[in-house]
Amino acid sequence: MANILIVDDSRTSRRILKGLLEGEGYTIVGEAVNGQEGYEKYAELKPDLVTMDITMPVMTGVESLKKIKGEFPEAKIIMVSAAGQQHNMLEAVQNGAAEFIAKPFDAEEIKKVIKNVLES
Amino acid sequence: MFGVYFGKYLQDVGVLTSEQYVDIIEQSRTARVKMGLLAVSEGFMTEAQADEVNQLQAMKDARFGDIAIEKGYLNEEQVSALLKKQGDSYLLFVQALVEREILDLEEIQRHLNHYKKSERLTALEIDALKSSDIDKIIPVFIKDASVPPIVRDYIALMARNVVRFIDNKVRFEKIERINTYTTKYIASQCFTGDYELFIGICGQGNKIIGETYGKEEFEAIDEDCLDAVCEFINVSNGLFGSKLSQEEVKIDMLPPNMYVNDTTISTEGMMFMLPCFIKEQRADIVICMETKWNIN
Repeated sequence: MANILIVDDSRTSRRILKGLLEGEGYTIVGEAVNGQEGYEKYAELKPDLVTMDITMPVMTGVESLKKIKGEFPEAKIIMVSAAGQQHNMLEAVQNGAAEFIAKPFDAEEIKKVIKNVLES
Repeated sequence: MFGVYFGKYLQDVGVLTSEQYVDIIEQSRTARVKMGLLAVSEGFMTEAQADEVNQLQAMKDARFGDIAIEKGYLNEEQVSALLKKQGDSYLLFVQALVEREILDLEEIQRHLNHYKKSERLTALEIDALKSSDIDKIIPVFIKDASVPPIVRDYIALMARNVVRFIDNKVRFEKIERINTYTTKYIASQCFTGDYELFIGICGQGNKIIGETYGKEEFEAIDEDCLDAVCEFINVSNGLFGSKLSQEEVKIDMLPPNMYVNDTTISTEGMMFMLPCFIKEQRADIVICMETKWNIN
C-alpha cells in the first residue's frame, strides 16, 4: 500500500486523517506541522502522496506545494482545507495540486479521492 | 431548544433543581432524530442522496432541508413533515414537567408569563425560542443595535455550527459589548482582508467543544484540547469566508492561535461577547473588529 505524508498544523486534523488512512491500509510515513517542514520531509521520505493543509504558520500549504512541485514535478499532492479558500485552491490547482479535500473530513470522500489520485 | 431557556429560568426561580433541569434536557436530547436519517427511513430519500447532502453541507452554510430541496431530492412539504417528526422540543419539555408532577399545565403557563416579563421577551420572541430554529433564536440575543451586520452574520453562522457539530441543546445569553476580556483558555483565529476580525472561543466550555469536535477525551483544557477547538473555529470560519466570497468580499484566514494561561483581550474598538452554555459549561464567543486588539 502507498506511503503518505500528512502536512497540517492541527494535531486534531492529523490524528483524524491518520486514523482514517491507516484504517484503509495506507502507511503514514511522516507528519509535518507547517509547509517548510512538509517540504523537508517530502525531500527526505519521497512519499507516494502528500495531504497538505492550506492555512499553516511558517509556510502556507500553497507555498509548500509550489516548492515541492518545483523540485519534484512527479509529486502527488492533495490540498486539504476548510471551505472559503477558493482563491488559494485556484492557485494550488494552477501549481499542480492533484485534488482537494474539504474539512470537516468525510471518510468516504477521502477514501475515494486518495484512491483516484494514487491510480492516476 | 426552548426547554434549555425556560428550564434555566425555572431552575433560577427554584422550581427545578439543577439535577432535574439537566435530567429533563438530557431526556429531550435523545428525542431528536437527524434529518438525513429521518428522510431515509421515511422513504423520501436514498441513503446515497442523504450522504451527498451531508457532504454538501460540509462545504456550505446551509441546512439539510434547504440543500435537499435545491437538489430536487425533497419538496417543501416533505421538509416540513420531517421537521415536525423531528419532535417539538417545547412540547417534550412540557410533557416532562407534567409527567414528573413538577408542574401542571396551568402552573407552566403562569411561570411562562413570568419568564416572558422578567426577560422582557415579546410574544414573537417566545415563538422564536419555541421554534427550535437557530436562525430565529439568535436575533433574540443580539438586540443591541450597535452590533454591526458582519458580527451578526458571523454569530448566526457560528451558532448554527455549534448546533450542528457540538450540541443542539446549546443555550445562549444576551450579547454584550465589552472593552476587555480575561480568561485562562482561548482558541482563536483572525480574518484579514476586507474585514479584520478576531474570533475567539473562551473559557471552561472549551473542554466540551474540543472533546465533541475532536472525538477525543481530554483530562484538562490543554493545547491538544484547544487545538480541536481551533479546528472547529477554522471549519466555521471557512464556511463564513465562503459565504463572504460569494458577496465579492475578500478575506483570508490566518493560522489559529491558542492561549492556556491567564490572557486578556483588550481593544478601544469594537469587541462583543456572546455567552454560550453547552451542557451548562460556559464558552464565550468573543469577536473584535475595526481597531487593532491587544492580547496579553
